[in-house]
Amino acid sequence: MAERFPPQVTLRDVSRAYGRSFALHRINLELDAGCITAIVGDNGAGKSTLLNLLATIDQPTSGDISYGEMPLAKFARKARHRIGWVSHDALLYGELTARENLAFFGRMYGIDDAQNRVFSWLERVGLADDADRRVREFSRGMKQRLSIARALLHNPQLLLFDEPATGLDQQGKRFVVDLLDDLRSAGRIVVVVTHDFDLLDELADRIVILRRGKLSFDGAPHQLADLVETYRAHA
Amino acid sequence: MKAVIFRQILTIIAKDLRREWRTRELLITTVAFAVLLMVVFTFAFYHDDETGILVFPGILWVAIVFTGTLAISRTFQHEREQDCLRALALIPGSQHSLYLGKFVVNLIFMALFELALIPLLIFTFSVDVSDVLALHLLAIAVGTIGFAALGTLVSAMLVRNELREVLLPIVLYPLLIPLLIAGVQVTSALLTGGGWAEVGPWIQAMMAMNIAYFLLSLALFRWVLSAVE
Repeated sequence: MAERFPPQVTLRDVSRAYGRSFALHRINLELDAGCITAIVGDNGAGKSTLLNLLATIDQPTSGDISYGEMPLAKFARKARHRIGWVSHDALLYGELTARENLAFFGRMYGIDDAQNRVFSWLERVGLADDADRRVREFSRGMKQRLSIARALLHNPQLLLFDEPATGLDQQGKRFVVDLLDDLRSAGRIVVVVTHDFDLLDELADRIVILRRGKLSFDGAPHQLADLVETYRAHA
Repeated sequence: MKAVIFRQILTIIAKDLRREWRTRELLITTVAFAVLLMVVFTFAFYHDDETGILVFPGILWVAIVFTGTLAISRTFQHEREQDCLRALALIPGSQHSLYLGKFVVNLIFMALFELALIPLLIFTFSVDVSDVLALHLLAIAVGTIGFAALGTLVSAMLVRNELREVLLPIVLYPLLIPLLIAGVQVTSALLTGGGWAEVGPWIQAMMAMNIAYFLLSLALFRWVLSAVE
């Protein structure tokens, strides 16, 4: 049976400083399985830093992050097997074909049945007919679908999406929305950084707003809507 | 664990070789550059066999360094273009295997270019290396390994830098000076009739430098990777 990722990611008093300036300051969060958490904020609010910390490619200056009972600082290597990252950049090799790209990442992750897994993901993201075309010939939407297949190939439990719908047409956005919905139903921990309000409206179970590295809102979309209404009424 | 890293190294090597086979961009540019270097050096420095022997060691090692720099400057270019470094950084164990894979790829490319360049240089400078060919090859192999070990690390350090093509030689060459001096000394001694007794200590020094370069680069690579991420 495949090893399951712990059902919750917890950040306790997490700060990340660069010199004297804080990119993130004393963040406390719990990210649950089967829940899509949207991270929102202006440029420089600390969204990317937060994703980097969750992805283990950066370390907090203070505070700790744990996956279930597993402290990240100690078990980053183990945790990485269970993390998938989708960015607005494709993170794919343009000169390789779609199949070769997925096979490359599959082998790097040490997936035993890489060929079967690659084929099944190419089918799932609708690129089976283009499997042997080089990625540089792909449209933005095709690259993004392949990028999602790359990120999910090793069956990660924690999924980090950094602006996944940027530059996509309506069909591409629909694909991302449906996929995120499937991932939520499958009990994955999904974190999405986005400026796309359609995506927020349609999918987010929870919205986290960052402002200058600090948490300024953490709650359900309807709570945010209530807050905005109250603010308007007072204004 | 070791098997995983070994498989990752082979995967990286296979990917880079496949990519180069498809585009041939490195092969074409470097071979063209090597031929150009050879023509310029021959017309500039070769007057007769005597001067040929005098200038050949320096020219040989300068040619190796220049063509090697071209190969090494492109080591992480494809990872940078699509931000694949980020995807690779997330793969457990990939830091060591990425360094080792790229190091082997650089060695393969440099060996191929040297295979084309060095016989041409030997022919045009009319130097006789047949008596101590094994020692010549050993010195070149050891020098190439040291160059690739350090070059792979420096190339990773500069991967996000806009001026990386300019900065690569500025950062790399001073670090390579001891290795190059030893290489030139070996080639020079061998061409003037020296044997293992004369060149042995130099070659041993080169090997010691290689071990230091390699271990240092392997140890530093994960920090470099996280810094450029």
